[in-house]
Amino acid sequence: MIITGIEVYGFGKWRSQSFTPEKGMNLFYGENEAGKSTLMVFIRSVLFGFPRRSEQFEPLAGGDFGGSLTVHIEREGKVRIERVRKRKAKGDVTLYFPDGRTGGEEDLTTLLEGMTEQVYRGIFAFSLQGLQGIESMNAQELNDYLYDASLSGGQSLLACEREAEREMQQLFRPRGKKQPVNEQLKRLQDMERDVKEKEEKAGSYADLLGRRKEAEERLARLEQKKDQIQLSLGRWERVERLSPLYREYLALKESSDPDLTFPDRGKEKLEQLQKQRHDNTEAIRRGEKEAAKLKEKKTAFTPVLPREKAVRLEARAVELNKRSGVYQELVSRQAGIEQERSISAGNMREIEEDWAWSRQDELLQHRDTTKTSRQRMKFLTDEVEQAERRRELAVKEQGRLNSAKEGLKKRMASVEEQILPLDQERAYRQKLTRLAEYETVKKKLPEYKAKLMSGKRSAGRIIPAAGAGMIISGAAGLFTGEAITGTGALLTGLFLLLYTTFFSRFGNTGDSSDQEIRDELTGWERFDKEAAEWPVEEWRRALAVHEENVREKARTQHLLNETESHLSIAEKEAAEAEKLQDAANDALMEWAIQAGFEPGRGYRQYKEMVNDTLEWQEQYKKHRELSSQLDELNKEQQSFEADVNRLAEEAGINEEDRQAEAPAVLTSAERKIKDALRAHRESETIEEKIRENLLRLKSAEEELEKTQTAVRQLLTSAGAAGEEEFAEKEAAWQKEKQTRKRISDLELEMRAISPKTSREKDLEACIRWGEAAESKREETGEIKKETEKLVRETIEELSLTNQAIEELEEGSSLEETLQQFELEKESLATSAEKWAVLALAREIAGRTKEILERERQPAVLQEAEKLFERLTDGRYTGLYAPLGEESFVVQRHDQIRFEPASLSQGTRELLYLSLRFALALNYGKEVSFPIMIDEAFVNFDSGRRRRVMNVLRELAPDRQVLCFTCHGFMIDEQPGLRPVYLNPQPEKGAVSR
Amino acid sequence: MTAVTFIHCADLHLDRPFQTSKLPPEILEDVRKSAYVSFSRLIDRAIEEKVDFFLISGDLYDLEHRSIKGQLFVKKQAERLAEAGIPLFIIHGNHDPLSETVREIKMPDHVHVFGPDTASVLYEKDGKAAARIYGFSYASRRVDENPVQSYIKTYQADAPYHIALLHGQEKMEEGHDPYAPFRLKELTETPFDYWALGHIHKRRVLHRGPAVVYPGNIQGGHKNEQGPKGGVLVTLAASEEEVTFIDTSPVDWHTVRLTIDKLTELDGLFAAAEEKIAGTVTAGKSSIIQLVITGSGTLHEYLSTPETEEEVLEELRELFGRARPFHWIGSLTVNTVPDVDREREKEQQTVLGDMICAAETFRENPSLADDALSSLYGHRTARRYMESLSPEEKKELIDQAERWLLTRIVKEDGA
Repeated sequence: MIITGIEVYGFGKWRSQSFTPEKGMNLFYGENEAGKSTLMVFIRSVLFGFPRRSEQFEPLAGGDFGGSLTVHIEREGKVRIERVRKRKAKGDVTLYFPDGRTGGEEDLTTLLEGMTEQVYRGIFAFSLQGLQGIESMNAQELNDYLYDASLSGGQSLLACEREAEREMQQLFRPRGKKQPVNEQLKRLQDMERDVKEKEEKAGSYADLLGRRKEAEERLARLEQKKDQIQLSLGRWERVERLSPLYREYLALKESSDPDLTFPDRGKEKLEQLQKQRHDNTEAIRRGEKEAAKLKEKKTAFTPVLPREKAVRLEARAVELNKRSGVYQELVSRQAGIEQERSISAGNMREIEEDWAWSRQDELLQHRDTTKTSRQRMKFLTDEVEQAERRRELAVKEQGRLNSAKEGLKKRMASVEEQILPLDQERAYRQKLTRLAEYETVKKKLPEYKAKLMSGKRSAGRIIPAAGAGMIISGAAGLFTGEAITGTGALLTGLFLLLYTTFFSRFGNTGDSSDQEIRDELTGWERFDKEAAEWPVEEWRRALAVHEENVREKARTQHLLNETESHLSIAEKEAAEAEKLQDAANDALMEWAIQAGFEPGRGYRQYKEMVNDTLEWQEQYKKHRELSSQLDELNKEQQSFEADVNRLAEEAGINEEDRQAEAPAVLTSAERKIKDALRAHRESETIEEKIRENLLRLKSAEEELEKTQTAVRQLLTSAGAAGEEEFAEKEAAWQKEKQTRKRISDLELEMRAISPKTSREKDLEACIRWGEAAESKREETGEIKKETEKLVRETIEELSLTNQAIEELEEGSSLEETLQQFELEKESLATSAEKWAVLALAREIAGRTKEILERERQPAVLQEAEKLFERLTDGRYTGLYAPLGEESFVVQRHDQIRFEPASLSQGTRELLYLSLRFALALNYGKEVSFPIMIDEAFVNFDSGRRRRVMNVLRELAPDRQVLCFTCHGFMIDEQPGLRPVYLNPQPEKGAVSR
Repeated sequence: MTAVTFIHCADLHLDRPFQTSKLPPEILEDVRKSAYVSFSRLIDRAIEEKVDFFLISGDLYDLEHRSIKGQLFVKKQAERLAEAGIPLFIIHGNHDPLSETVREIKMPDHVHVFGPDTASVLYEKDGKAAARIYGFSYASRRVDENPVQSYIKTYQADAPYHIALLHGQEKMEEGHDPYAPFRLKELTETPFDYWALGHIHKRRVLHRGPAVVYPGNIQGGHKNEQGPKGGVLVTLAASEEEVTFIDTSPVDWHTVRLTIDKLTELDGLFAAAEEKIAGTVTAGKSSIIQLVITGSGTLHEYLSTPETEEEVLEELRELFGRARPFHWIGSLTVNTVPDVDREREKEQQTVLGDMICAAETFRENPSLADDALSSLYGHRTARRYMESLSPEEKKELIDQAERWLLTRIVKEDGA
């Protein structure tokens, strides 16, 4: 396959650029950043699709993304492959075949015989990278490297194998210790042991249950034994304590006299009786003395009043004392009433003096001031008052009317003076009417004159016109109030109108009328002159004043008539009112006499008089009431004083002292009575005391007798003749009593130590063992301690067993360990799986290598051997790969063999290139792909580089080689080549597509 | 004939440790309790439904480890049933044979444990024979004989229903030790109305009329025991049989597969994972999820280093937090591959193609891998703690190895 055309539409910095490489070697020269790498990517992209991260190659200047390659393929001829980035990330490819067919991605794959970019780059692309580091590789690395190069052009099959191996080793080694899997195995072994241990424990469950049962039974037995020992120990302790007590008890029993008796508490009783005897004697002596003292005291009290009287008087005094409060009040009320009464009397005097009434109380008292009488009086006085007011009003009206009448009369006289005499009035009116007629005609006169002059007839038009004018002015006059003038003008107007009408119908119709008009005109001209000298305005004013006064006269006359009639009414009213007043006055007098008032007073006085009489009567009544109250009070007071006096007298107050105020008298009386009563009470008390004393005396004497008897009895009961013998007997009794007490105490003590049930046996043991009981007790105590220890141990054992059982039943310990064990196993499985993947990868890689060694390597080696000889200028003639050793051996022309590691750097590189070229030249079936060299040889010295290049050119004359460089010497070294200068400036190098 | 109802469960494996990667302590605690909780829920349900009796078809305890706790727990639950007047019929299986049960723990009177020879018990309801129940317990860990004949021999036609408890392996079923092997056909030809099987942990109704039922285990114990677990509620009536699954396991195992084919961003991967997991788990139940990422695309390269794998796993676990019920990502397996046209590579006989061919050779014959793996899998100590690899597992490992190589060989450098 030869690329004959490269057309970039847009790719990275390249835009609209085309190149036309040739078959054989092509040299592309461009400085750094000129776009060499981009162009190489472009070529690969068109063939195999855009790289995954193709965004970086999107044309910087926009436009179509992609381009095309024109290739020559023997089978097909020239085919253009266009790839443009549209929908697919890989770019959309179109193939244009020479026969006009087009094709797509699948056709391209067929065209390229299924070549992939991966393989293409591995085999046909050479870069500096491939040679880098060859110099520093150790033998193994170099071998691997060269080996890989011979198999896959550099793909890391061998490296994969080694990586897998390395990682496997890191994970696990069959006899390792520190690798994770080995550590896991160790942990698992430990855990398994732990599990076994715990499982065994679980297996001992039945055993544990058995042990628990046995321990429980043993414990029960021990507890029982412990109880028995406890009993025995108790017995020995009792016996030990009982022994001395029992000995003493027996001895005391021996010495006691059970028949000895003595009165109970005899000594105390005797002493008590002796004391009693003494007390009784003392009491008798005291009583006698007291009796004498009381007798004397009694004589000191002799009361002044007998007891019954004093009691009676005390009750009365209490009664009077109550009344004494009322009495005091009466005295103070009396003063108040007396004052009130004198005020009332004063009021009465005042009223009497006002009216100059002599003191005729009887008369005044009986005046009728009842409501009915008062109402009558009021009615009558109102009547009189009303009538009087009516009359006064009428008289006043009369006066007013009379003066009005006088005024009107005067006015009438002045109006009549202003009225014109009748003839004069008439003369003024006629002249003014004539003037008004003329004023109407005057306007038409010139017209008529003219008509008359022209000869045309216009008969009688003035007059009707004047007539009409008069009617109008008349009517106007009527409206304006000039009634007389207006009426005149109206009548004249009507006349003129009728006249004209008549004449226009029945009058002359001939030439005679012209004459008439002419006459008329003449008449009017004369009148004009005459009227000019009349005082028309004066007449008119005089007429107006005259008419006003005529009207005034009529009005005044009317008013005068009215006033006259009112006056006569007022006179009548006054007379009537006077009559009524008199009648009312008479009735009032009549009432006064009847009601007991003095007659002949005015109605106003009666009103006052009635009120004052009422007041007087009230005061009089009050006066009388107060007087009777005073009488009552005086009576009560006197009665109280009398009662007090009587009491005082009876109480023995002397005459003189009784003269004092009643309350003071009462107080001294009371005191006297109280003294008497107290004296009586004292005397009674003393008497009572005398009686009591007598009783006590008697009782004391009896007591003494009794005591004497008791003493005698006590002595008898003790078998003693006298009190001295009694004392002796008592001492013996005391001793016996002590013995008996001790015996009883011992019995109690022994009872406290030994319960009733065991006592008999215990006492027997006391007799039998005596002092040996102590050692017996100690012996038993030891046995008890031992048993208790056994019990404690058994309980401990039982609790441990229970704990173990519980743990098993709970299962947590085993369960947890098992789960951890399982987790660890799972973790091992995961690690093992990881290891297995690596192991298998290594295995697969190995198998693959075998295939390659078997099927591909021999041909490659053969080719490489030739190339190596050429490249080393015949210095090395052989290249071998011993089977299964994954390494090479080279043979120098002198038959000496070397391992690649012992070659110089340059030779190593040449060996590498030989292998790579061989692989490339051997690859493929029909299509021989172009080789791409990217600065691969720039680090060679010039001679070697030239040789490599020449070998390449010679060995494969038909193979296209695209060599990219930025080094000028590459051009110099290949003078036969026409280099393509890369200068990605789209504007300059634009080509048509 | 009056109908009978009962609950049938098997393979309680109380005390069996869970095969899982490390779990946070609180989750581990829940997981450890889960089988107990599941069983007590079944008992709750029995009491609630007032069933006639309760059947357990073997492997109550994981007696490899002598489950005293388990036995005490079963005793307690049996007492609950006894209180409700529900008899409990038990056979023991290969895990808890009669020889290894702890005899000191006595079951209440309502419990009938079948002996080593096939026998039967008549269940009476209201004074009338209602069902005859048959069964035998494993005397020791191994029972290799076909047991069907022993059932037929003990058959007594004196009850309306005949129910057989059997712990053993149907010959077509795989993945369990082939104890008491039998064929389905043998069972369906007998006059029994219900075969209450145990031993296989996956729930299967092998046959209807008569019903032959593996109820599965009551709680998943590892990633291959997936989905809801529990027992079955069975009603046998004259004309029909009704078998209803009762979901009682508090924790379910799930495998969730995701592809990165169309994903370009990591966020998208998280969103897809969240969505897929939400769609898989049962609401209200906890779950342990094995997440497998497959496919190829831009995310492949990012995911193909162990460090990022760890990071993604942590991130995903964060996503689900520690809420209850929990959803714990138990493991993350990245099985993504680079974008390679395998056929073309093979055709072109490229190195890649040759490698793929080599891997295929292994895949076709997984035992070829044994040599390569023997240094660890055949290791004297290691093999005691590891299960031998099944052909499927080997294939899976070969796939991963191939991916490992592909990823390394096809490493783009873009320049």
